[in-house]
Amino acid sequence: MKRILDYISVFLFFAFTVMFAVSTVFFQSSESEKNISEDRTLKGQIQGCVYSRFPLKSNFKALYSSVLIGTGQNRLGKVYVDNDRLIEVFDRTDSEKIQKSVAAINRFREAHKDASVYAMLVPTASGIYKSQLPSFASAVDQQKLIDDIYYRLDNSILTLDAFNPLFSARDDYIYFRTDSRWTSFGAYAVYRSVISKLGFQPVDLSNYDIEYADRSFYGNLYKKTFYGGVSADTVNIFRNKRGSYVTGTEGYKDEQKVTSKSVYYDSALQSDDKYGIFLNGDTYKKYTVSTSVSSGPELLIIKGSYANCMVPLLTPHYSSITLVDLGKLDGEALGDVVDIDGFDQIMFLYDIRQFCAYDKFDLLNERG
Amino acid sequence: MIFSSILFLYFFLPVFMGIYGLAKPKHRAKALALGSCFFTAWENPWGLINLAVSGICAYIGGILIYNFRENRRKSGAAMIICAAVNAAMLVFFSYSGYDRTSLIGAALGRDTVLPFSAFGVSVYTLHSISYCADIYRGSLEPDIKFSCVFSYTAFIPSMVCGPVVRYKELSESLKAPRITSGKLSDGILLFMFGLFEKTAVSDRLGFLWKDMTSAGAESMQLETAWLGLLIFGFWFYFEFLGFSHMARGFALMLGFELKPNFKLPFTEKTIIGFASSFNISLNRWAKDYIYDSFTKNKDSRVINSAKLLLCAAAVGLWYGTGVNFILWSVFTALLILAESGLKNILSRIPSAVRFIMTQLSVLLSWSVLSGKDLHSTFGYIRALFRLEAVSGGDTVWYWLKSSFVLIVLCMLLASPLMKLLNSKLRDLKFDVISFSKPMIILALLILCTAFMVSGNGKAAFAF
Repeated sequence: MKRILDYISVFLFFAFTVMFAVSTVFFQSSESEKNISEDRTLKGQIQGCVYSRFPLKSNFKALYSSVLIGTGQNRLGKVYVDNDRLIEVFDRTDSEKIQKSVAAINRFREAHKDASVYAMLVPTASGIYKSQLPSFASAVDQQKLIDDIYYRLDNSILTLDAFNPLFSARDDYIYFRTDSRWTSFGAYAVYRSVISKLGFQPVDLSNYDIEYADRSFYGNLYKKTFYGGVSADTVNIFRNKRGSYVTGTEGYKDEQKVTSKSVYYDSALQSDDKYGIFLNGDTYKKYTVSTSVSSGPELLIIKGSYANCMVPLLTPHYSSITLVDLGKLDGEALGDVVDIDGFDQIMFLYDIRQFCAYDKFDLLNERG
Repeated sequence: MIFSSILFLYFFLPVFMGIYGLAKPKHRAKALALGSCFFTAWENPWGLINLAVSGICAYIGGILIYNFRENRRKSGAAMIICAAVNAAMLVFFSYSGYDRTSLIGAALGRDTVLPFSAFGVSVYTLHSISYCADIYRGSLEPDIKFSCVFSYTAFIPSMVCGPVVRYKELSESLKAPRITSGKLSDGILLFMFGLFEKTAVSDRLGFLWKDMTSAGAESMQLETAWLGLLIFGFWFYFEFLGFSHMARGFALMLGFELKPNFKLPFTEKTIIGFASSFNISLNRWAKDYIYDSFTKNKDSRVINSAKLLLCAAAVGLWYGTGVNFILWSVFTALLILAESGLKNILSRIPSAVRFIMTQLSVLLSWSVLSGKDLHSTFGYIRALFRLEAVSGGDTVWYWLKSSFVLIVLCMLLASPLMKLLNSKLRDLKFDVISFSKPMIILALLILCTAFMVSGNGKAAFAF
């Protein structure tokens, strides 16, 4: 009997491992997500490929998260579970990278003296909820870091404070619970506070119908952990009661031009990333929104993904808004895709985490 | 490649076991050798040079030493060359980079980067020296089959971090390793248990430790510092214990029975007891091949103490080239010397008090290992005794809450309870262990896979 049970044990073990190995190699497709390993060697590539194709990954991740949370731990890798919210841990910055980025922006400012240049660095949830988190989860003091970067930017670049309005609205639904990005409400809180610095009066919230585009949004932090203990998010969009100012949009991807009538893409609600409802996500290298405000100035936004849900709020003020994603440029410089001097205002809009990790600002001035 | 990775468990292990199992027993030593070469080359192909040098050194050195056995001078010279080559490889190729916290970096006065580090170098060099030294002492005859000697020096289950084995333990099985269903299933269970200790216990403790110390020892509260020390100690223990269990399990699958490398050190009442039940194979290696190499003045207390400190320094160097590893090891040796010096007084102390004293000393000794350099180590030791930093605040509660279940689990695993349970179950008429084995293996496999997929994308040995 013991022998039979030994055979069963051995068979189970090897059947399970071989089945998973075969499935990894032949029956899984590689996910679009970046491989775990950024190692470019053959070994690193194989490791990354195996990890990204491993079957039932979401189930294994969910099991891992449940076990850890069940045993009293709150940290799931780079994600911290704080009551009913997932927060991305932001624990280190690369000061050399930041210095390079600041220098590139200052050089850009130097080269385009006529335009009004603005910078807005938005704190992430770990910055706003710092006091509720253990020290390791919010080791970077975001308010100080943003102030420090603003201080090092050229004096003629107008800096827009996003920290204080978000901090004042911290009890509202300003960040998604399951995503690292901010909600329309967060964007509105900041918009209301900074728009006067750009020369406009804010449009009051009562002028908008707040539409629940989706009530079951599980964002990028959920997809990192598959932790089921946090309730789903809602995606809200603001529709102007007087009708939209947007007359059309143009998105440029590779050599293709994609047009649309609205900045909201309902089709994204059927996709993996529902945040893509705003401007179709980070799909395009260049994206232009034309509005019916013919007398308004023209705005260029050098954007991070936080810009997407801010843009709809800016449409009542500008005749056109152009966004450029430096990360999507393919060997081109900013000057190759837009006529920089043709804009009245230029804004850098990033969340602080993305800004600190970004190494693309050299493309403002020269080709990559 | 490391045992606690998806690549090893799901790809290398089934394929390798398939080839190994299909090979005729007399050819299995060659399959083992090939496996070791693949293992090494996977980490860094240049490491094959070290592996080959060490294997050839043992094979040729062994034959030369044996042939010159009538001429002590010549055989001694061959022995010294063999030991020196291996020791040099061990010191230089354990890591690829040496900063100034390591002895090499400190000696050169600058950070040094070598072109590569050789995977498994800290184990196969010890095997190579052990093989030659046993022949030199006349307790072993050299094996004429190169594949046997090579597959012993590069013994694949020991490659990650031991246990260090002796040729005598393997020589019989190496000629024609036999695989049986009982050994295979026991080996799988032991391997999975080790994998659980590595992925679900040790890695978690490591993450907790890093989070606790991320703000630096200066801002650490006294209670958190002591809790941190406990977590660090368990982390160090379970990292080695997990790999040791995986190695023994893997070896058993291949048909080799290895002795346990740890014997519940946290239940010991004396420091010498702790040291001799912690990484046993390494400590015995140091005793046999360093301590016992000095044959003169065997009864001199001073010389014996010096020998012990030398052994401790060598063992410390094996764990890592950082100064703190050597200090930790020497500190433990000093405790052993103090213990043997105060033997008469200590024997009058009740055993419960001795147990507490010993385990407290062990706990304190981890603080020497805690920092990367002396400065951070002293910072941590200061935090342990900074009475004004007692807080009773939220931070320590947070860490207690986060680590409580894990610490209780560690205490259970480090206590004789599991052993007791095992023997009680075996005494039962109904064979519970055999019946539950398939389920336990499957459950551990699923759980460990969950930890490997999510917990550590870059599976690595922590020390």
